[in-house]
Amino acid sequence: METYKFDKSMELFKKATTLIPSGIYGHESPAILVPGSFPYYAERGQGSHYWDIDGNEFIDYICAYGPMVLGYNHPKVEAAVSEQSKKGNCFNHPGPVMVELAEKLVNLVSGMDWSVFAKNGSDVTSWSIQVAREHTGRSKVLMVSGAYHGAHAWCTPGHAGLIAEDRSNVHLFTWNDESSFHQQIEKYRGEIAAVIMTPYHHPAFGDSIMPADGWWQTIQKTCNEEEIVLIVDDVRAGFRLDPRGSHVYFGFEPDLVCFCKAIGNTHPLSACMGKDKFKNDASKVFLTGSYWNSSVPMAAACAVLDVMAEENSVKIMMDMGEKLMKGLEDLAKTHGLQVKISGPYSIPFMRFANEDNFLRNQLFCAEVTKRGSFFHPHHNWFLSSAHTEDDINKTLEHADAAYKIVKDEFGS
Amino acid sequence: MNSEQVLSRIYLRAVLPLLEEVVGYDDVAKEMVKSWKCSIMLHQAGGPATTLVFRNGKCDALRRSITIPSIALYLTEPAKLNAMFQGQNVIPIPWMGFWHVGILAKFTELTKRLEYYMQPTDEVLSDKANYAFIVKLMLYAAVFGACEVANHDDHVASLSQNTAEGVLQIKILPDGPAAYIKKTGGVFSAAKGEAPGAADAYMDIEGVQLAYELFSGQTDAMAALGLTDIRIRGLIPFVDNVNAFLDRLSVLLP
Repeated sequence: METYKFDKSMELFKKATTLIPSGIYGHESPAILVPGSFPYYAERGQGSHYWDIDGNEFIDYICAYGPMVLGYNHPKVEAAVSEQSKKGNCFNHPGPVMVELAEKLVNLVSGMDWSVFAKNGSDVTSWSIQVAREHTGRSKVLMVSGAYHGAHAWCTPGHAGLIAEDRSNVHLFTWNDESSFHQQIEKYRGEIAAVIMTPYHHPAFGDSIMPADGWWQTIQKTCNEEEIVLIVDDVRAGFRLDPRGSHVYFGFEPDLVCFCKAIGNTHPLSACMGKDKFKNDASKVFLTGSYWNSSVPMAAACAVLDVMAEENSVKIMMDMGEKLMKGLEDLAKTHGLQVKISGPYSIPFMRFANEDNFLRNQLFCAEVTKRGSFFHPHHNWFLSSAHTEDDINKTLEHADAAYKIVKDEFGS
Repeated sequence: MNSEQVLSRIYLRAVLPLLEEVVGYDDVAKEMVKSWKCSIMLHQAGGPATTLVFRNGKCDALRRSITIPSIALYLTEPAKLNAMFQGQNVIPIPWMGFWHVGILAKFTELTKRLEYYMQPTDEVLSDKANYAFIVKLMLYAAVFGACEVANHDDHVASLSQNTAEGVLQIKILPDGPAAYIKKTGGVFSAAKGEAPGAADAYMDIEGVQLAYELFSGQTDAMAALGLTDIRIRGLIPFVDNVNAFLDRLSVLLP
């Protein structure tokens, strides 16, 4: 089959580079894909598909890097958005929808008694640490090496524009390594305000790693004993493992939970939720942003939560993800290739088992994408409840062709 | 190590060895060294040494000390070595071979030929061959300098430690020059040319002009990647970390 071309993307990007640093910056920068083999600009989306400005259609397995969870332009969500938009978005005050959404979340998310809202994951992960510091009167934070908690100075994976003080109170330990965790606890005993972790380890450029048996129980027990606030960064996994929070899926009880991505089905919103005992501390820590109380994304989120409950979105994502990943694994075997699947089926990742440098994965994902299914070679993928069996079957056809090219290029 | 110490290593191990290239390219330098048969070792107390071996009109740069150099020049501290490379009036102590006063004076003249290319005037740059040669010097200074930063600079210690082992091949298209950076056994090293065997990461730069702009900080590298004027593949985090080392190198190297 003829593969996609990206001439208009490239042309617009060329113009963008004269106006915008990097042309496209951050996680959507083409530099972290395979430039020239992926689209740069999206035109529109519907369900599990989107179209780039060259008119190429993609079955989307990155889902806007997570925010698309029910499908682009979901009718019920967009109806709620439209209705709220007619009334207005930003005022001198929040809309009543803020209280409605907080109530829905408190009723839904296990163990959480209150909620606040912002726009991005970084907003709430950073704020949650301030709450922990206010609560404990301590300064230090422990996080897992290689984990992503946002783009603020204390946690950005970038190198530029930082000073040593930005991270002087942030200390690392290794995922699933109890001795590494306890070493840091002992080293900084009495100084640690918070331990912030994702529910499972999902680094870029690496396999997703699920928690070992007893891992979360050890973390939680230690945090309780040491009076350290346990924060779960559920920005990426939230509402894709269990609507009540990924901590329910893994069986533990955090103190604070941060959500973003899926909560608004592409409408910008994040939330931090907490236990009652942190509510007074939370009210003391200043929290605001020009658009943080805007009503439209909150109306979208209310609709998202309703639809998720109605259709059991998590099950759909898990089922479609399982079909996709098992299909990819079986297909690889028929080509004599070895792939490694990791992560939950709703947020899977795949790479070639016989390489650590991603060369095969870059070729494979580029070839699949050029045929109409968007795969990322370095970042976990996302399923949505809009994905269908027909989507998966088409994608497996694309993968079949791409595996052949990998086989021809690398041999195994 | 502190910044002065790291910078002294960069001067000794990434900048001074470029004389090897200058002697091979520059007619003035060739004329100067055509009859030299000696070795000049420059080292800094408690730090690294680089030895330049001149014979048959050529210069070989050894990034190490040798037992009996013809001339050994000694700097008591990194700051003095750095000041000397920055053109300040610092006289190294010749503790061996000080009777070769004539060659020492000529050696100072030779280093000015390096400066001629490393800090080129517009006129020097306007010559196509010079331009390509300068880009080659920049590439070699970058890869060897990045390794000194990665191995010794406290500012990037954590990044350096967390960089996976592997090889990054850098090539200026279409025909080179090329160089590579390797991390093995926890240590970064660099070499000219193409790495033997397959690399783990590749960076291809489209042409000497882009390479010049990249190495002199005049281009938006992320934009160039998107435009496919710079192409990277393989172990991208390795490339990303080397980029951070190069950023640090540009801060240290005035």
